[in-house]
Amino acid sequence: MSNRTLGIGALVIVLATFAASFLHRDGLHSNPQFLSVFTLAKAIKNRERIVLVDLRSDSVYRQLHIPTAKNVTLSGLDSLVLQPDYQLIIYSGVDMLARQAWNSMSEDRRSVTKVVYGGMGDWYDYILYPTLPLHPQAQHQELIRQVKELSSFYGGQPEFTDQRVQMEGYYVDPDQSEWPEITADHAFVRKGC
Amino acid sequence: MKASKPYWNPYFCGIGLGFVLLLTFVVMGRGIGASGAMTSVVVTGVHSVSKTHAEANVFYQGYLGDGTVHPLKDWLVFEVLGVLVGGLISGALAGRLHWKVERGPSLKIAVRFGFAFIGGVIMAFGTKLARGCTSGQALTGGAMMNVGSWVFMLALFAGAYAMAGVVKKLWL
Amino acid sequence: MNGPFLAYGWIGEEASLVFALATGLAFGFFLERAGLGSAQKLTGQFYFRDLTVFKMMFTAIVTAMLGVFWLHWLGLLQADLIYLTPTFVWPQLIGGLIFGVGFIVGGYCPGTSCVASSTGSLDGMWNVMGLLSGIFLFGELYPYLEPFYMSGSMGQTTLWQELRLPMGTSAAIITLIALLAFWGAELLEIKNATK
Repeated sequence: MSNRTLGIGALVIVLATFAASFLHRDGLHSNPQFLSVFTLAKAIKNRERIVLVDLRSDSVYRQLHIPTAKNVTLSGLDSLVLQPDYQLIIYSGVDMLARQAWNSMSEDRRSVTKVVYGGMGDWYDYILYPTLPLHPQAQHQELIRQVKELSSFYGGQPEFTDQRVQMEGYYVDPDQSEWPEITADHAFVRKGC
Repeated sequence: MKASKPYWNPYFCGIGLGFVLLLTFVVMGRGIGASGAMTSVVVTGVHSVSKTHAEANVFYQGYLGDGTVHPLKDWLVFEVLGVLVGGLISGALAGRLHWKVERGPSLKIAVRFGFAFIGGVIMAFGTKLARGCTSGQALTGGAMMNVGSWVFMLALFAGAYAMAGVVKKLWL
Repeated sequence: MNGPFLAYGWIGEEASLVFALATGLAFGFFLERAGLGSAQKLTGQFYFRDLTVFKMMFTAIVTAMLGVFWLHWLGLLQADLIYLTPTFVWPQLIGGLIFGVGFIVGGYCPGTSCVASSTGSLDGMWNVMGLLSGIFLFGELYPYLEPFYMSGSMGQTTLWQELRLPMGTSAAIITLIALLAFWGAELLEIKNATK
């Protein structure tokens, strides 16, 4: 095989890559619609038609889970029956479970599924025990009132601070976000080279 | 001197290496490296000579971790061990396994050794500042289109080309 | 298939060390095969005589880069889970320049010095010793170097993210440039060989 052949082959691949990138930017790889814990909290309270699924293990689920969530593992997710106009909302913890579930889901199922951005961790940090500013800006007053109300509804307790709290953006559903970063540490693999 | 087999087409070797790198991404979620392994060796050495000194230094501490795992039981260290063996095997199969000193025709061996050493010291500074070397930054980071890696790679070529004229006697 | 395997728990910690060994083996093998265990070949690069290093390195980069894009595009690999070394512009720029200088003075880079040493190159071994000593020196001087070492932080970012291009487009452009460069390299080698 000569260099010329290699070169031509490479050009073909380049053209295919340009085409793939323009026609369907992310290809078969798609990100789910994410839901913020704030939106979820309101949805549960308003008894909206959702089926909330916790993908984590039994023991962790029993320690703490989002109210009304069912504990279903990855294998059981396929056989879960979803009623016609119900939304499936899945979440997990600081792990790959939600991502794995989304990856192995059929196209049909995906169209009615949303993922809770930040999972259990965010529920804990932003609904149950949120840190709220003592002296909020005017435009955040209503938002903070709602958070306080939700927090006590779910049996949580907000904490107040003098310091500035980042209220913008968090309580809005992440639009076409990337999955949140999971910094999993592996024992023998030090990061870097 | 025993005739050795010719080198393979560099493009083929490059494709082969590219696939190895790709496989590493797919399996490990990270790329290859070399300087990190050498640093682990140095850190282990410093640690064995003086524990307190090693632990007091932020840089060394980063490679020592929390003490639960020996710093040499590390992915990169194993990988570099593989590199040593792989190079040996290839050299053996191609008849390129013998003591040698690569240098410019007019250069004395001792001078060559001196420069090899100094070059290593200088390169070490470069590699640590940049957090990687040609394997980790240029190859791995290059393939991932990492900004810092491309900056490093381009600077590397610039630095070497700039210096080439000065050290001509070493090679030509 | 869901890559990276380690992130999805498809491969264990201990097994990953075995994989490391295997990877290194292949890496070292290919390096030596192409002749990168030879300082003359490595430095011939910079005198426009022998552009083997350039060809091999960039072919490898482009192959892996396109591979990552395609596997990601096909949904088989989650590229955003692949570790990116954080960008620190200033130390990486200066470090690159210094590294280049060290490279042409010593004749090897860390990876190739290992390959050279294992095939009996004595100067390769001196280079390795220099590297280890240099790293030690760096470690000792680290407290003074730290501010510079941490400057110019851009976090973990890629060229296509900064330029706001799709990953594939960026990869294709880089490959095109590389192909042009290879063509140029071939012409350059022919020109210099017949001199």
